Amino acid sequence: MTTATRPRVPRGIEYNLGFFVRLGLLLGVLGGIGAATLPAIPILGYGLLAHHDSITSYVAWLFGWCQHSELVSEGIYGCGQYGLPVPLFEPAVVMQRVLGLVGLGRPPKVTVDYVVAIIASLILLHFVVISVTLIIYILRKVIGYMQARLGPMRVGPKGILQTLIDAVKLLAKEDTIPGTADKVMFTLAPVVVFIPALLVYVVVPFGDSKGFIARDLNIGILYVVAMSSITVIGIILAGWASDNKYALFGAMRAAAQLVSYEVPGVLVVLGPVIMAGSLGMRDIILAQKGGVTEWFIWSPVPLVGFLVYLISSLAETNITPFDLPEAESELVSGYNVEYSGMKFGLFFLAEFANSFTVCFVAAALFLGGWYAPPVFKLAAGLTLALSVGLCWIELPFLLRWALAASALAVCLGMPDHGWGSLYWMMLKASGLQFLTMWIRATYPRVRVDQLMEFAWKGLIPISLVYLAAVGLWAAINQK
Amino acid sequence: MMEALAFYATAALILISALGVVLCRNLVHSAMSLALSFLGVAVIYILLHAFFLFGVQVLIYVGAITVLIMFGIMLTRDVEGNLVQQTNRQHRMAAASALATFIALTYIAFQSHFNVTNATPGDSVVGIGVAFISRYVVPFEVASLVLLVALVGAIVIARDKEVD
Amino acid sequence: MFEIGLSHYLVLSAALFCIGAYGALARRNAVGVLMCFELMLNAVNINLVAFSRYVAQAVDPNLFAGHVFAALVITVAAAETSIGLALIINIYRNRDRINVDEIDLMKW
Repeated sequence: MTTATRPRVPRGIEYNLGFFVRLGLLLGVLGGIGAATLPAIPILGYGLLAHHDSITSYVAWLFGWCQHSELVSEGIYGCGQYGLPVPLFEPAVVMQRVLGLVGLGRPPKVTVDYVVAIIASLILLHFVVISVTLIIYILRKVIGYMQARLGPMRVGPKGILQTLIDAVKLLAKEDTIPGTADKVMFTLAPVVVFIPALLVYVVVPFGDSKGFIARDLNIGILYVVAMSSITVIGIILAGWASDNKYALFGAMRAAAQLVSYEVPGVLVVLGPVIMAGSLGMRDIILAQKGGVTEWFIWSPVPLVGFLVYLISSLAETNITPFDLPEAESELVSGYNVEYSGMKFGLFFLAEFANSFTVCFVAAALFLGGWYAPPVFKLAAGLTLALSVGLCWIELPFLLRWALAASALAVCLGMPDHGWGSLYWMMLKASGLQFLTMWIRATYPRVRVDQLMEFAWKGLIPISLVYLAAVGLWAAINQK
Repeated sequence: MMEALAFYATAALILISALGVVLCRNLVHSAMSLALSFLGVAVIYILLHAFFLFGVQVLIYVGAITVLIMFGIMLTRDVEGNLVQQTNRQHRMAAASALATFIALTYIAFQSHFNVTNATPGDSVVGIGVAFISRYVVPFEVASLVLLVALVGAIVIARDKEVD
Repeated sequence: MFEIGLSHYLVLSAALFCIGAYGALARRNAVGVLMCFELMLNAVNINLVAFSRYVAQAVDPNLFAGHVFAALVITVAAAETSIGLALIINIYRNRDRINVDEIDLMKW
């Protein structure tokens, strides 16, 4: 009788070279970005508060490209306040002296644009990563509470560090590539899915001044739709390159779902475009200026456009009830069945980043963007106050209601221009994100044929009728 | 100078990925190169100040036609596999004629004199919209008919005949 | 060399067209031929938009005929790709192979 030795099962995280390489890379990249941008924050903050009204003019001044004149012509950046004496140890002066010593003198004008673009993209990258981390945690807590359980509680106080530890866990996993898979395509697929999710943030308006939107492209909403359509290729590639029948089926279904629900989404988005007369995101928000009745959720045709957009964007970002492509009980988790480790993490990250983008876009198109008329301030304040006061039961009674009262006061007092517009935009996007989490916790998954039938026979006719109604209304009223 | 750098980089991207489309043995790699060349053409549209066409190119070519081609590749898998030769009998003649065409076209392009201007174009979104409604409304309507016919025709042609 | 003008775009478009033409004539798989056909259509689009940018703007800065034409070419390309793939799928169902060398029943 031979005694077979048991196979060695690793307990906990297996610390091997690959783990430390990946952890080192992650910390190095994040640490590098953080170290590079963290000192910039006080410098920029000081510069913005003291002298200038935008990052562009501050960077221009930093590089010595300010002209002390009244005219701000193309290419000549005007400074915020002219003619002020420059103190001796200003960072700008120091930098110009260093550049002069090195022999560079004044960098070319175009450098200012590039530095501002790099700063803007770093800010957006930080925002996306941090917001996705928070959203995943809040999602698990919210769904937990709705299902009469507590959600993550162990990792950190009230489970706050859960997402971080999940990221470390994904890093620690072995990065497998199936033997017969196409290695290049297998590695490329998560990248193709993740990058458009980041790129859309370039046109998302976070607030009302021009400094709050990275680039106000004149084709804003077309750019959003176009970037969302690149994701389909990544999913098909993931399913194909896995060399796995279930992955392929899942990818085909996912592609069919995404392509079908793109149509009503795009058609309905044209309603606000017709009303605003422009494709740019800022123009669409500016056209909703006059009060709650001007918002495009009510204005030509009440609620139809917003609901169709919400449903089709739930389907676009694979959220329950439309999460057939990635459900564990269907086709063994669909197109990402062969993915493990950080590649899977990229798919995950892309899905949540996409869902948050969609909330921003819906808030901009239908809910009046950063505008907060008094009715809306009251409604938002009351909702926030009541939800904090009635639901946050872990806090003692007085603290809870004090927080609720302060939430109401903040909402009623916050202006809707300047930094206040950032608050209102975030509030609306977060409210919509909570709504999608609520829908996620409530509805069962639809079957694939129900899915396709709903898109082609339900949403597309409704969106065509909506578009015709908006067009007719706009033609009659000559907007 | 930056525009020249952008143009040359994008042109290199387009031509290299086009060569990838033409020369790759694996059809899926070809399709991905095709998507990359479509993206390159979209960047060329940005350099030409055609912003609306950039959006349309990415949305339709990269987002829809590439998906269509990938579905087509997956539904028509060749029984012989990936490593079969991808060129047919006439590839040498094709190469010669393509080269001759290229030389002829560049010669004609350099010999012709066009009234070139460098003025900044207007807003193409508004311009295209106005043109489609005012001067080119018939092609617009005919294009919608073409799409309807293509939609119905593709479904009819590709339908499984065992369905009663 | 550093000043990008019309001739640069024309050469790019000619090169892309000729690569696409070589592929359409030389590839064996029918879907491969369709892919190269898309390259040719893209080359034509670059040409149209380049002329619209550099030549039509001289006449009238709001004359966007090249862009309109390019948008219509994109539309027709999408339609023809879908019909072409439907035909290819049908041929594949009947003959189990789609090499353009071997589907020559109707040749002389």
